[in-house]
Amino acid sequence: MDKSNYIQYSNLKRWFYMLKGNFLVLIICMVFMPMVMRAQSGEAPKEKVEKVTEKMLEKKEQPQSDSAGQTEDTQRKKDFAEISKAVDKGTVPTVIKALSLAAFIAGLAFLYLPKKKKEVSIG
Amino acid sequence: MGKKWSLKDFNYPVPEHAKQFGYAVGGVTFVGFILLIITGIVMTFFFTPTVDKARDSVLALSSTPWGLWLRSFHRWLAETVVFLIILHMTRIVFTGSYRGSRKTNWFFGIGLLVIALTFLFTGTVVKWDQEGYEAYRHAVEQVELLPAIGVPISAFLQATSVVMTMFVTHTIVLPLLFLLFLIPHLVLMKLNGLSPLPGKKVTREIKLSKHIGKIFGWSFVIYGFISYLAMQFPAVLYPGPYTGIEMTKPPYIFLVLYQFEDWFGVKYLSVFPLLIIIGLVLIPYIDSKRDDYSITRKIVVWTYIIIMAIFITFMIHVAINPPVKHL
Repeated sequence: MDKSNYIQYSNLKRWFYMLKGNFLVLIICMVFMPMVMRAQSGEAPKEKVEKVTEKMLEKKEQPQSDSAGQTEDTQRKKDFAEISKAVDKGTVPTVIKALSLAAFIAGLAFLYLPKKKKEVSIG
Repeated sequence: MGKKWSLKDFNYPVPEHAKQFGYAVGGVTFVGFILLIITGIVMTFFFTPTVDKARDSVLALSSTPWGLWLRSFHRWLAETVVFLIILHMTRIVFTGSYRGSRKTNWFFGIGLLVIALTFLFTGTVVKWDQEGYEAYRHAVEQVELLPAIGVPISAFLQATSVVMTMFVTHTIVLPLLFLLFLIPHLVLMKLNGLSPLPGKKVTREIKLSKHIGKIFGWSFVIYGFISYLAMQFPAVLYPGPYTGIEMTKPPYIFLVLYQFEDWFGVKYLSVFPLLIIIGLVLIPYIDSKRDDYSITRKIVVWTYIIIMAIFITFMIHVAINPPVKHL
């Protein structure tokens, strides 16, 4: 093994360890900085709230139509939070979560289960 | 007689450190991009790109379990891919892999980062809810400031169907641009070979298939986890959009700009990304020496760390504070 490279690598390792220690102090300081930086924000002046889509369509005079506009009216009125809550109650979300976790575990197993080494040495 | 090629010829040897996560993260990002294309294509079948139907079609898609997962996975995936690009960039800076013949590839990488951020922006706008509208208004304000071309571009954006413009940009223009930068990025990577570990000569090699195996292993871990999160915490669809209010915050990566906007106002918002890009472009010129232990090397790495730490602080600060009206 080339000794000079070994020494260089050791220096690099030491340098990285030094970096790691200082980096931690820096991160701790940075986490506390927001508390100092907290900007004062007054109450925003009340303005007229208008639905953008209606305004834009009004300006164009012609409603923008499309072939796929088959969304049911009842569904439109529903809130997103309400819909996602209802969807989460079914079996399919559980299946999706299980499949996702299976992929996650399969990846971990592939990465960390010991395998027979097949490395090629240059010389 | 010419050489007969077989599949084994593509399994060429690569340095042993290709097994490390830091050297596989670029590949993991690429897999994420492929997943974004697949989920994006499926979603286009259910999306109506008009101002009056966009949000409704997204809501309709979200009312089925698979649809809700698909949209949430796409959103979470997009934010993860941006994070992985930054992680990949950080590894490049730490190992100084932008020097010498790899300088050109660093520039292609910056281009890919900018395109990925534009993808995230247009993807936020197309759903045309309150978050999308606020993002769009910020962009219009910025565009108007551009010299000579600003006013006509702004007029074009406001005269045509915004959602359709953003949709075409998101699904056609940006993917083509992304490929235009990605292909030379990959070709140059192959020509230059995997960058060495600083201060260490390559003594052992592994087969490329092992490197690719690691990429897929990490992809399964990261994207499997993201897929789980997508179902557990679905991507929010805001009401609206309404004018006169500002109630949302942008995706996490843009929170840095949000802080600058708090301080200097919306008019100067585009100055900061420009400064960041100029800074990234200058890195290979400042640190061009081959020496892994040079003083400029240390200055560049430390400056990068400090800037990143400041950005993370801004993100945390904005994330924990209530939204502020800027427009």
